[in-house]
Amino acid sequence: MPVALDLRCVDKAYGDRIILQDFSVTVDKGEHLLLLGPSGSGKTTLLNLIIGLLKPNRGTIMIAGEDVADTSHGGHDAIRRRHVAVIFQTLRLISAISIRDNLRLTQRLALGQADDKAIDHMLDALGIGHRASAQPRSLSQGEAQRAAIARALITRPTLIVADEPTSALDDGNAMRVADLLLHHAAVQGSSLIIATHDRRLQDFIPRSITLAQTATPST
Amino acid sequence: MMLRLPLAYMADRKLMTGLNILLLALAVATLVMLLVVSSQLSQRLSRNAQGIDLVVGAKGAPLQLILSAIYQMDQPTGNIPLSSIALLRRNPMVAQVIPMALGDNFRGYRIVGTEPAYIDLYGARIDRGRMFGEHGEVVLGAEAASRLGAGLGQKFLGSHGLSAGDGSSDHDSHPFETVGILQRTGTVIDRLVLTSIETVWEVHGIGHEETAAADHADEAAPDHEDEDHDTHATADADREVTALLVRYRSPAAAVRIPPMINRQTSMQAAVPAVELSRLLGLLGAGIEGARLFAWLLALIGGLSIFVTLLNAASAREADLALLRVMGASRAEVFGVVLAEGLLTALLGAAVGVAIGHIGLAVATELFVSFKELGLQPWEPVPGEIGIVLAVIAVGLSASLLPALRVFRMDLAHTLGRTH
Repeated sequence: MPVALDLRCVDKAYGDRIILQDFSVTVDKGEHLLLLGPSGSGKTTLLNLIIGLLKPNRGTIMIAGEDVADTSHGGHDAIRRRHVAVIFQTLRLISAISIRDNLRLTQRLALGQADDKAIDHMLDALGIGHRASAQPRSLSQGEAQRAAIARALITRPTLIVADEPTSALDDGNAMRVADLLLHHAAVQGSSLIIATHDRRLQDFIPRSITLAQTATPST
Repeated sequence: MMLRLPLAYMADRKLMTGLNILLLALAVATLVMLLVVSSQLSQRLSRNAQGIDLVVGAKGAPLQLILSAIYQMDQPTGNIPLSSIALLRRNPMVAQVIPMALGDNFRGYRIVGTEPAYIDLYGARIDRGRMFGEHGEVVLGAEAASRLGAGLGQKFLGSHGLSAGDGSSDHDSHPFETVGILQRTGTVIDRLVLTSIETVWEVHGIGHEETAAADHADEAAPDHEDEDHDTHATADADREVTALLVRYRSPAAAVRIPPMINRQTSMQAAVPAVELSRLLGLLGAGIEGARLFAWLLALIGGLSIFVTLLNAASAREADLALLRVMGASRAEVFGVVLAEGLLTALLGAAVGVAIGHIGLAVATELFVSFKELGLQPWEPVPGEIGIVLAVIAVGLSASLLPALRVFRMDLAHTLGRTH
């Protein structure tokens, strides 16, 4: 099975404060992983290391065989373009442009060109096809959540990284979002890493790692 | 799509974007108007005075004499005797003397009594019809003909005074007939109605009916306003002209003739080159002051773009960080902010150039002085490119700092802070 993400012996500290120490984990292509832990346990730091926004003090981070920790800024940009999609807790849709244009922009950056047919298909699959021309600020919370998922999926990334995607949602909505995310990631063969303190997601994703104050893998 | 993003951001803040564009546009419009006026003014003033070494007229302000006789802008200083023509023509240092008699207008276009040599002076050619000859025949300048919608054979009545607003009654008994229309020259002659001096005298009753003469004392002989105009009745000695345009035969004439006229006659000699330079000096100070004000406006526009973009960049840091996470390079995100400033400046410059020319066109229609100057409001001036480039530079400079801030953005910190 090809490996989507491979972290080996990663250390990360902010000054004297150690966040991660000798941390290693491997996620296969199409595999899903839950990063659990309380606030301040290093979940977001770990995600930022994976995305390439932070550099580890030690260790290697490979995405689809490319070393994120050992590349220049341009190299990070290229890896992110090709392999990684991020879903933020606050969704972060660009408010000045429509939902369709948000997806077009993502495709253009990742793939070099936009595919309106694929965008319409994706929005329809997520049940927001009728809102394609709407501005993000006019969407309901549920619609915006789906739009953010659509944006993550539209480039068929190797790895989808989600930061607290369900924490602010009630049980019903949390289940729906998790279901959509997992279903579509599985359809596309994308690996999924969700950082959360929402233990409801354990019902959907059997493999999890719990980060403590000084994190070490628990499984 | 990355190119459309700055447009989307601008559209998202319509009011601020609109105000910034307006501010820059007003500065550009002011600069364009000043540039066109100053450039065309000096060009036209020089072109209209070309080939005229000296203007001789009644005593008064020399600038007024030059303005009225060459540029057809001000009231004449008065009249001079017909004998002055012969006096100057006899002088071996004088190559040419062209007399002019002013007094009437047709719908604001001055009727000038003169000789065909006046038309030759400006290199004008007959476009349609022929040169005036018989009494009452006129040739129209190209602009006068086009604005008046006049055609060959058309008859009209002149009015007293030199502009439309001066009028008393029309010369009911002396209709003019259009016998020729001149080609456009880009000089003062385009806006004149030209006829023979004899026609002007005839219309004003000089040398003919005694009764008519009194009506025209203020126009044909303004310095004789209160005299008994019966004296104009018949004698050639009483015939007058308004001014003489003189061309020298030799440079020595420039030293000899003006002092001779100013000291030995009751007339005055004014040198166009001297008066023109004085006039441009006076106008230049005002134009420079207005230009400084306009650049100040442009600077304020630039500052406004800077503040707007800085605020917008702060508000959009999360968006821009997101673009980086999605794989946009630093240069692309830098370009988004820079493009917004550039587009604002470009739009401001384009709207400003349009407003500037439209403003000039309106002013030319509304204000007689603008019309008399012969300004061509739609004629572009090369310096406009410089103004546009300078305003673009202002816009780019104003957006550079916000763009650099975004360029150096710490993504993890920004996304963490704006969660």
